[in-house]
Amino acid sequence: MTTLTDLTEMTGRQVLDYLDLDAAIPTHDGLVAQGDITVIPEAMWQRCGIAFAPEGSWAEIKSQGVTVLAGMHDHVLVAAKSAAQWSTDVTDITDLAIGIVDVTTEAHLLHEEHGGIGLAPGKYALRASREQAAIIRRVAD
Amino acid sequence: MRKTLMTSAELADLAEWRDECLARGRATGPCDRPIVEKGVIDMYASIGAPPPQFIWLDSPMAGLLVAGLLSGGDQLGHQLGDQLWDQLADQLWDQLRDQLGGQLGDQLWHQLWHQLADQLGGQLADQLGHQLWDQLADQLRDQLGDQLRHQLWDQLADQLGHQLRDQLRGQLRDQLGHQLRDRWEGQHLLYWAGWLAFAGHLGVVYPPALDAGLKGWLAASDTGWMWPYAGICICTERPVELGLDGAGRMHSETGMAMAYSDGWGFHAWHGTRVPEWVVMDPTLGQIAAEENVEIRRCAIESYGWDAYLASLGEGPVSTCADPGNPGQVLKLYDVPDATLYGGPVRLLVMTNGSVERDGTRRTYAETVPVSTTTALAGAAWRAGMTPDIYATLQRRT
Repeated sequence: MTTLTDLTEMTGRQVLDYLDLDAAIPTHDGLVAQGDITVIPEAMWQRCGIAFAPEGSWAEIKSQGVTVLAGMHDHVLVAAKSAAQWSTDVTDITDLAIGIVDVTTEAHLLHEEHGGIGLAPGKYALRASREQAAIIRRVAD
Repeated sequence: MRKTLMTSAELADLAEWRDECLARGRATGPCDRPIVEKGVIDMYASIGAPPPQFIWLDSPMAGLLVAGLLSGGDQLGHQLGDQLWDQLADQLWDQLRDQLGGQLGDQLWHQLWHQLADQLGGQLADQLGHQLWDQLADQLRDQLGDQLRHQLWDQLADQLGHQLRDQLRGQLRDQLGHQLRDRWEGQHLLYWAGWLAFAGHLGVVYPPALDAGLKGWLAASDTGWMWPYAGICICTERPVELGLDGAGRMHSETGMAMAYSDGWGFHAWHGTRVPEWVVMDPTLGQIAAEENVEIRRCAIESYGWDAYLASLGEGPVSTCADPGNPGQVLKLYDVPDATLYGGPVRLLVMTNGSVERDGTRRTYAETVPVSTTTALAGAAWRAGMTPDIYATLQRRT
């Protein structure tokens, strides 16, 4: 099991102190969301208009994690060495996709306010949210 | 001159460098003054100017004020513009006198203007900003081949520039007014210095004098805005607070989005500069009285759309259980005033999947297309998918 304490120690990032730091973070293999990030499993990509780009390349996820959406509070993708890899070579008809994580054993999304969410083995696209203002724009939290 | 495109390894380095430049461009708190001063001296040397005396101030407003003094104090009020002049409260003057007094000595403070005027023989102090651009920045740029220049600009400077130049520098410039004189924008220029430096990483060889100037420029980039003059460089510190939203726009719900240690700064809501009341204490009365539609929208968002709509007696047009967020409800509303968002929209009011420190949950509203008929369809549209897929959401935190 993985806890928020594990993730903060690995990345050096903080979470709010009233979150349950020592509880096991639940792991999911389906559609989940953390704030404005939606995590979309590979089985849903076709219906969502998402694809891994041809000749796309993968990168190692370093111990401090990958900031997938920066803001007042970053959404950070965290994985132990060789537990997952990350690629930004993604195509998306909505243009909202940020990248794809290929989870071999386990990965987590970490957020200062929202805590952690666990991802089971498989491929997932990470997508930002959109809003309809005068022009459609990405959501900022 | 190098003309080939970048390799994938170089692109990976570029991504890392971009992140570093962005972090430095957004950094807050006191800078390392000796390092910055050394950098400025190296920049001056690259254009053949002797090392300047340094005056350190806490905010760009203070820097602008002293730059005004150096460039012709009599016309200061006129040049700054009435609005800006009004902001120069007695308090700021006193702080400024204290700061300058501490660094230059009281006597020098009292005689600053006269002595400078004497030294310059009645001329205004020479501004070096343009000279630095012409003789350092432009000449460095000329060392880059066209292809590399454009590729690197597209991949690095364009994206950094969007965050640093358009957002941070742009907001600050607008807040200070347009009579800004010949400034050098410190950390907000890192999109430019970082671009030139990365070209060096790719093998572009600058002549030694320019290269030394560029290294100085990078070292002098970890601070706030400067006003470079012959013999004197006015340097200012970075903000002590900088609030940004997820899109990198200036935003703070608890105070000034950009705040300096001398108390100067301003409030902003998702990239719109707003009066203090919008952020700190929005009321229904002030919202109704606000004529600027953009500020009114910000104020309603700050007040909370749910509460605002309830005050108007408006109920939701659709509600549904929030998938993955047990016990919570999604609500879809009509917006009473189409001008608020520049066109007709509906609002989806949602509740956070995680609780606040006090056990409450924050609600927030996002705009969805006016054609949206159900709350579930609105939430699904936000995530770019169909309602039947969105309904399978296992967990929202």
